[in-house]
Amino acid sequence: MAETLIDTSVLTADAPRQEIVVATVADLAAATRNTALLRDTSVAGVCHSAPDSRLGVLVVEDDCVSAELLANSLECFGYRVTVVEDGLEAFELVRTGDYRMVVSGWEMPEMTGAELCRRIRQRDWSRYVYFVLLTSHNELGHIVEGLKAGADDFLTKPFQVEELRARLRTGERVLSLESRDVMLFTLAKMTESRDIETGMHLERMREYCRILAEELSHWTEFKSTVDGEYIELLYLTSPLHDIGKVGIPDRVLLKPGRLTPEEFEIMKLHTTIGGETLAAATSQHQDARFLTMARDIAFTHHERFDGKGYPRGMAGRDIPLCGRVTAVADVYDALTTRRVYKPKFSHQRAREIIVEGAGTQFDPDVVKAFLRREQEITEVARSMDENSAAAMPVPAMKAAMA
Amino acid sequence: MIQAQTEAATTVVDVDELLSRCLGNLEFAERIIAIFQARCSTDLEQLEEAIDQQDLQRVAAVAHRLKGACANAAAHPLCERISQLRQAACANALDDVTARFQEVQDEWAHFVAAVPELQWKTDG
Ligand SMILES: [Fe+2]
Ligand SMILES: [Fe+2]
Repeated sequence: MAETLIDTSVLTADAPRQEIVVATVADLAAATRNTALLRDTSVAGVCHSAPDSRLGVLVVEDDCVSAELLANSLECFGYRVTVVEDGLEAFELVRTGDYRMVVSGWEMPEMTGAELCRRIRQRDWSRYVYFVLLTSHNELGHIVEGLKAGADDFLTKPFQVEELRARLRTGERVLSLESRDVMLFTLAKMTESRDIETGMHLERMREYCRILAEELSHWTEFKSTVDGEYIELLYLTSPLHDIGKVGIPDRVLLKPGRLTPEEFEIMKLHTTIGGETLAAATSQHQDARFLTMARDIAFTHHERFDGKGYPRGMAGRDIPLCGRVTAVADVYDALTTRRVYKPKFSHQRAREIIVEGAGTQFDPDVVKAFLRREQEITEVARSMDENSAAAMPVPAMKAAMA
Repeated sequence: MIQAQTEAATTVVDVDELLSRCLGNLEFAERIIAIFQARCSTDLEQLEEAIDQQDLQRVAAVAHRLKGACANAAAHPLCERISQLRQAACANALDDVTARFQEVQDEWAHFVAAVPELQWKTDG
């Protein structure tokens, strides 16, 4: 039974992507007060005020001397700067989306710089935030931990002005790569645009992937594989799982009824078409981890834990983790939304099917992660349900394409 | 060229380094010194209190923050003393902490005495 339910072959339309969260006005006011207390930017005419189009940089540092020096330099380089003293406050500000870069101290009250970075990597998905950690010399352990948390760069204390400038310029270049990420998603949406029915499928399933991977990142056996970067890559690349459908003829892809066995064989090819296309790209860009992951997902999202899936019949942990996670996320969304071949199932019914599939269709660990984060998953399902009035703010992707 | 006027002052702060971190802005550098002094006196009080309570974890945390401030303010001798204090606190060596704190205070007294002499001038 699961096979027809699970092959999400009849998919999609064009729908906006969900933008998330805003900090409270009180938080913002407090942060602004802090900054105002610390600094008067009109000093001696070195800094000039520029319009608000300046790139926002958040300095998080409980040592006010360093914070002041950093802020002054950054303003002189042309950034819009806010200073806060602790990680919790910083996290709330980052959630507003007003800051593209964070320069953060290591030891701070409430939350360390690395923890702040980790939380940003786990929770802030609408735009990439470039994260620079301040460390002291000879604290190599910090660098390792910082990298694991997803930090992009480091700056040693005492900082050199030219080095600070260079690090932030690098950050600006990296942020410009974000257009790459928008392109990836656009590509995925185009694949689905031949179809009319799946709506926000890609938006929801990548959220499910993120939640599942985030859960696994806390487990001892996955800790070394699933870090902030892994979660982010999975979020970016999981929407490409069905990209091979561009190669499936309309008569099969758009067929309203059940597929014949021959047609189903053709449909199955979407995994190899997508996987091979991405593999060709991977061979030319060896270090682009997102291509490797996208390739693995395209190839393996229909593999089954018991080895009865397609295209290769891989089994157990031979199937890359990204494929095992995507399988659960993809199927759960197919189950909980209406498709031409099935009605919308309740969360309870979908949950039963997922649990029944543990160890046969799905990796039991991923199913366990699914159960542990069930509540969050249902919240995403509810908030991103296209029939719900609460969903859909401005379609960021469309805006980016315009 | 920018330099400090007296020798006493240059031994407590590397003026060239601080000024370059202030992008050559003298007024801003003076403000930084003022902020730095205020921060130091507060932190030294906190350190003393933490040492009295034998809370070496807190000593290490405050010393870490202060060390960063000293480093960026280019107050290197003070930075060095505080770094030693922090190491002693991290090693959980209370006697050593007390001795190192005395050295920090001596250096601080030296700093405070020298700062009024710290007059910036530019020539050329
Ligand atoms: Fe698929
Ligand atoms: Fe799908």
